[in-house]
Amino acid sequence: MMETIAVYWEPRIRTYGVQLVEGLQLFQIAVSPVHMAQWGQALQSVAEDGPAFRLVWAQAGAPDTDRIKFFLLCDHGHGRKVHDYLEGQAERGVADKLQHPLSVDLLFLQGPHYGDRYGVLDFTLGPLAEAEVPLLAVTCSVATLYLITAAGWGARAKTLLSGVFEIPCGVEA
Amino acid sequence: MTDVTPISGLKLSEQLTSIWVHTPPRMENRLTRLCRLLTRQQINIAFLTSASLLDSRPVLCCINVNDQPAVADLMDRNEDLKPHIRYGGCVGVITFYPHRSDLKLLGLALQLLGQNGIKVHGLASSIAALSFVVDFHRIDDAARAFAANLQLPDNASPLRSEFRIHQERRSL
Repeated sequence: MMETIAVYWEPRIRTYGVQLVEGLQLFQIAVSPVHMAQWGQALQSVAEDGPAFRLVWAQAGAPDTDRIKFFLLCDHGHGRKVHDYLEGQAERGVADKLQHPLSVDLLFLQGPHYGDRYGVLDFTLGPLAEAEVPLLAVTCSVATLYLITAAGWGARAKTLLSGVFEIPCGVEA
Repeated sequence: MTDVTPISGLKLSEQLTSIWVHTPPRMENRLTRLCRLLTRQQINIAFLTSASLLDSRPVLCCINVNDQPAVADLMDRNEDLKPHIRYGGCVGVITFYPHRSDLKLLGLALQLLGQNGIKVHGLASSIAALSFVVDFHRIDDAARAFAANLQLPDNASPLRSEFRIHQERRSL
């Protein structure tokens, strides 16, 4: 395997911008691994007419259950349909009971080689922890960091991050 | 499934180790501490999901398998994190793009993985891609299932990392 060594020396890590989307709806629903194929088929049927998602992630690993928890972030415009659909799946036994949706803000940022460099998430979380911004969730996938805050906190988080990251001129912070 | 959904690419990660970190309701402290320790050791996080303020599930953190000994040593010396760390097996991340924010594509991927008995430890979308954390010894099975049911460009095949990017600290 060929190895490529990249050397970064940045007093401030560069990002292509910090994006903020406010007032999204976060849905949470757990699925048993034995129902995964069925759950996948069910998601395809709701997708016939949309809705789209802003972010989706899932986690296993709860200490007392084998369930995989899905987190689905949608615009409010799609929320009603998603809610009704997920409730229907819970009633059919494909998924567990749907939790009450939360209103949240979403921030995301990406930059050069984020998926291959150490320290980017650490650099991101530091100022937010210091300011006690309530971070509900974090995902790091490929080259993008996603941060979910309680509704109303996104703008504050964006201001903080825009102050610590280096953002190229001409890119809206 | 009569319509084949087109995708632009399919990528398989190198071998990773999964680390589960149980966090209290104030998840920022433990997650922040974990990230700081990994940074000091110059260890990259290949994949991470955390929702500790929403759920009891632990943080899922995937690192290169070659970094596990260093991380294990680091955690053994950290009294705060040590009792809350659990190491999972070897995993890999399989990614395809674009997802088009389409639940149908997500659903199809989950259906394929479920039908093939491939366990999903985690998944996350990014700007254009959908990534799934699966057992490393099943990643090729996952790739075959996706390649057979999603339309890759002509002459394309699942991409494996041919080179690794290291970030080194600059010595002054």
